[in-house]
Amino acid sequence: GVIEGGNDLKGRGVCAKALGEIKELDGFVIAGLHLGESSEDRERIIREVTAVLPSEKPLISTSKGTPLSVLHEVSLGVDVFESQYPELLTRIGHAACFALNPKAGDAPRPSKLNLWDPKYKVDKSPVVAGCCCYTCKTYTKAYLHHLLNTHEMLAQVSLQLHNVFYYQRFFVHIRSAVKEDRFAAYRSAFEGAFE
Amino acid sequence: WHALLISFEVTAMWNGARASRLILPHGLVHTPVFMPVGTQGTIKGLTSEQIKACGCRLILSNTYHLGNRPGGEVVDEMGGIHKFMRWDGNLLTDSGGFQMVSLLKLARITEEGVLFQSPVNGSEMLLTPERSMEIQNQIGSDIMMALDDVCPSTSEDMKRFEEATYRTLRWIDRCIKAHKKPHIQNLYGIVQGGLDPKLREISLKEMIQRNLPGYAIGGLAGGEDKALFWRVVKQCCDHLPKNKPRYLMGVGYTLDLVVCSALGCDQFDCVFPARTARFGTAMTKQGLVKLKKREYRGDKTLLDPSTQVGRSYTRGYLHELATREATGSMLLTMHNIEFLQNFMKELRESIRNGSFPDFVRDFMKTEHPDGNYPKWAVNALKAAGIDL
Repeated sequence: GVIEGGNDLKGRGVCAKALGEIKELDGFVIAGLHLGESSEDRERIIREVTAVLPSEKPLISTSKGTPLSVLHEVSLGVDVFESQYPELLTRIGHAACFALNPKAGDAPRPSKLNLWDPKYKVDKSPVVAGCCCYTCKTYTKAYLHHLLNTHEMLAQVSLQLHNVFYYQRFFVHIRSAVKEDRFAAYRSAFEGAFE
Repeated sequence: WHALLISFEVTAMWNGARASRLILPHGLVHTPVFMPVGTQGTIKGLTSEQIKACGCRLILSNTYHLGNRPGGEVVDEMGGIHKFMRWDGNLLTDSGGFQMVSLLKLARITEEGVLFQSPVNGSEMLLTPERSMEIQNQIGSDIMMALDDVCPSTSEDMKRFEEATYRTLRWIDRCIKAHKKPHIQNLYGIVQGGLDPKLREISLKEMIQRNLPGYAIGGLAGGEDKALFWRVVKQCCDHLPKNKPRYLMGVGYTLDLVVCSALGCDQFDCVFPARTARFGTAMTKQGLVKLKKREYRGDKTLLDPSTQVGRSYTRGYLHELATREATGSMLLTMHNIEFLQNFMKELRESIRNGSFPDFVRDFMKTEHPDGNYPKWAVNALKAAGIDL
């Protein structure tokens, strides 16, 4: 079931309650988020909805899926994210490199790097050191930079391989943190280290 | 680990056709071999792993384009082309000569070299034999091509052909002199002469005298009359040394591969398979399958049994992807490249076990079920000893 209602809290509540009572529905989608509403309003909407939905069924959020908003929504009970974050990065020649498992108090570091930057022309290092994706195990920043420069398809192929892989690793860490009952601390450390 | 510079051993023959083992610094290559083209240090959209999985052991890259972007110095700094693009097979670099034809409007040819204006950013590059050797040395390819003076085969300017033939010879000597790594990189000379047997004879005689590790037949595959094309190929194959590889440049349609293998060629290259894939066309034994066409919509049949991609995806699915999604390009590129590798494998096997004429006849029948064989191919094969 898809829960609509825009920014209207009451409407959201009514919609969620009605859909929540339909036993045949296997899960729910909160649609219409990240359309300009504030983060506080979004939180209010999600809380309003999760308060009346059966908690044993999965809840999907459709959003840009930026790491910070993902963590925010996970804390509110969202289970599944439909997101274009990896693809959006790939399209502009960026690679995700945010700290996957930062410690509390870690200094902020860039969350993505722009491989179009000419400073990478002869950079022999992998896109993200320590990343086990095919791209980081195989290619260098210099080669990715060359592929982007020459408008070669392998640029998007390689970046997408990395960004999707990296994003999935992010969710692995999220799940561990939730399972080990330390999600709040994980989120706090992550936000501190995210630039 | 001792890298062998080059070794070429003909292990089987059927008349002029040879099946051979070509060993280069990055390993063994069975010939006749088709070399896919990765112009800018990548075969459009494919990873090195995928290229290898398609059966390739020898691919091509382009000196002019790599010299432009990222630049010979960058490739050198990054440890050479193999390290840069993470390809551990063999690589051949074209000297930049072909761009004289393909970018003719942007090129000015003199005795010194070719002055190119980049189609990308208008920047100028003077490609001399020395500069071409320098860039190729920086790139670190296993086979380097000499810079030759190429006149489009469809030209009617006999004086230009003559000039190009002799200049190519003067340039090969400059190339040999400028080549700084003859102990780890093989320099092939290119036979020119247009479609004129006399000029070709001169070029052949002089090139062979330079005693190079391999020779290419250049200046063809430019839209010239096929009847003249095959005769030039035959002349060159008949005169080039038997114990050295012959590389026919720019040839990649299956019919041409079959005929020219029969005439005695060992190496081929062409942009056709990868390019046609990006236009949504798959190569099969029955001919080209243009997947963009509406007739393939909802087609549940698998593409083609001879390749991994062909066995995994339906025509209907590929129809949806073709030209719309990058994945479509990649899958069809993989298919076409593997198709050709498998095709050449079969061709080589047939030379080895003596059934080459049957291979040729079966191929012709499959491609032309109505028996309407192209006349030039019939004549060429006859000259090679195969009667259709």
